Amino acid sequence: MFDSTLSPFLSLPKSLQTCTFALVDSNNFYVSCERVFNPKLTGRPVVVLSNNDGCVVARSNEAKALGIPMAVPVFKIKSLINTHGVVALSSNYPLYEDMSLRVLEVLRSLGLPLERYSIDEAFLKLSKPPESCQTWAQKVQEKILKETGVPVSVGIGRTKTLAKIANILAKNASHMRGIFTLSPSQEEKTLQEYPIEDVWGIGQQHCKYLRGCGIVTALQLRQASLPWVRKTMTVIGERLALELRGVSCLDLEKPSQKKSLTVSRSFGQGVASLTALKEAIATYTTRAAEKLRRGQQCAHRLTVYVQTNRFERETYYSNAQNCPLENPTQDTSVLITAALRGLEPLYRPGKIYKKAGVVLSGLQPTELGNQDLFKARDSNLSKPREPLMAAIDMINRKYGAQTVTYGAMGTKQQWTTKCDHRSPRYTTNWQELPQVGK
Amino acid sequence: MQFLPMPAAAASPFLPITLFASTVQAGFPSPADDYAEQHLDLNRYLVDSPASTYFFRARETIKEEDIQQDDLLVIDRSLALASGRLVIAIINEEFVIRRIKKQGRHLYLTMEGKQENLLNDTSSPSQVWGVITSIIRHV
Repeated sequence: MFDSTLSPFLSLPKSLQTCTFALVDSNNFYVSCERVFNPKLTGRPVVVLSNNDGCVVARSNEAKALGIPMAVPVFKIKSLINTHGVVALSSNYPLYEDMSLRVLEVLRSLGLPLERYSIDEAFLKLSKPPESCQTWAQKVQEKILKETGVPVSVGIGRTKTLAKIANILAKNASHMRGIFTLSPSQEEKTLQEYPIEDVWGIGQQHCKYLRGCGIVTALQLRQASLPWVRKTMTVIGERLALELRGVSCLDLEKPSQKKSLTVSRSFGQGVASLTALKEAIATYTTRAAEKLRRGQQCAHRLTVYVQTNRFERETYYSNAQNCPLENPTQDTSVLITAALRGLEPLYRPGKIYKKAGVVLSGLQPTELGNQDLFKARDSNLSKPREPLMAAIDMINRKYGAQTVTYGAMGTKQQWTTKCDHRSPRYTTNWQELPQVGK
Repeated sequence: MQFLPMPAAAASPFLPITLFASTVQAGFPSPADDYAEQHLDLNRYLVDSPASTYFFRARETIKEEDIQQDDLLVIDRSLALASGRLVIAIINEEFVIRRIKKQGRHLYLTMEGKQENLLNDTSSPSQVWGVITSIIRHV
């Protein structure tokens, strides 16, 4: 059945030889988080909107049933919202991130190797075959629901790719109650009914090509000749085909150190003045510096960029400027100075800016000091300013973000994102806790 | 061409040395050193399981349960439902405080002496949000 040309992947490390992968992912995660703290949302059509309340980024099953597609701009479904009483909420990222970490903590307590794949998905590695994991999966589902209120689906298979497929099937078939353990003997039958475009890792282009070659199901890709797959889809495609065959090629990934950090936002109202742009850039730089310090890193380079409305093509203007930094730094005021200096040449009067951002790159851990003997010591004396940065971070942690801010950020900030319908930050802000009565 | 050895003076130019910004502790060791214990941490006292611990604010005073308006309530969702426990329940889509009481073989949600809902009623799943473990108040 399989061709004899053995791929190098078939001599596997011990850790991948007999293993099972589980993909645990939250159902309609953002909506689920909102429902935990607002019982009135249960059973209702709910959507969560992107920054600036622009598009739909999450839908409850009831909203899906109304035909609301993912990523649809809000204005297109205004009438649906009004007719069916759809609740539209602005995204509440502090809440979602906090809940995501709680789910992750519950998974971590299981004592198995774990990889956080996204805000609402995680892979775990088990040592039992898939068919023996049904009870385990049920216990995990119940534990997460009890401790966090978030409903999850569990897909289990011999490889990450098969686990992902099992997870999708678990979600869509209600009789499975959100759990599907894909045993080796069921693989062929399951993959026969699984469309090629839904296979994890197959992009639009590859899909078109494969369909053109008569490969329309996952089973057909699994049965295709490996050298042919390697030739047409590179080694990455070959890995996928092998994973579909139950040969694990993708192990759990370790969290990698960030190489760059970006803070950017679209403006609720378009911004025309340099003053307002400066305020925005100073604010984004402050946030980026906080993230740097939290990650215990310094940045070598800073880049500022601005953009006008992408949809007005005739007048579209987009530009970026690299701002040199004398020494790797995590000091907010050094970064703000550099960023504002970089912004000046980018500004064109008469344009209405829709988006701006700051990118910090060339990140390195703080302990590695500047190794270059010939670079002058930082004339701003970064060492004595560390206590100042630490004090500011501590005050903001204790009393709420932005208690202490830099003057350059401005006080009115009329360009901030619209988030009119954001729910309270139930788990990250003392002033916004859920309330309970008699 | 022959290279002459460098004169000693030229071989040792000015060499910058790091000046340590902090001083070194010297002096006598504390007699209490060996007995030093950890600081008292309220987090450890109040929170057993961080992932399942949440905070609620009491919207009103509930005399019978000694809860005052604005009290901070610590909730642990991981605890089992048992008779005698004070809990946050969901009734009519609202968060309410109730006490679990056992009557015969069933558990009930009660408030101010009145027996209200039957717990584990299959028609209304997940009635209980979590168990209240502590009540915190600034005085």
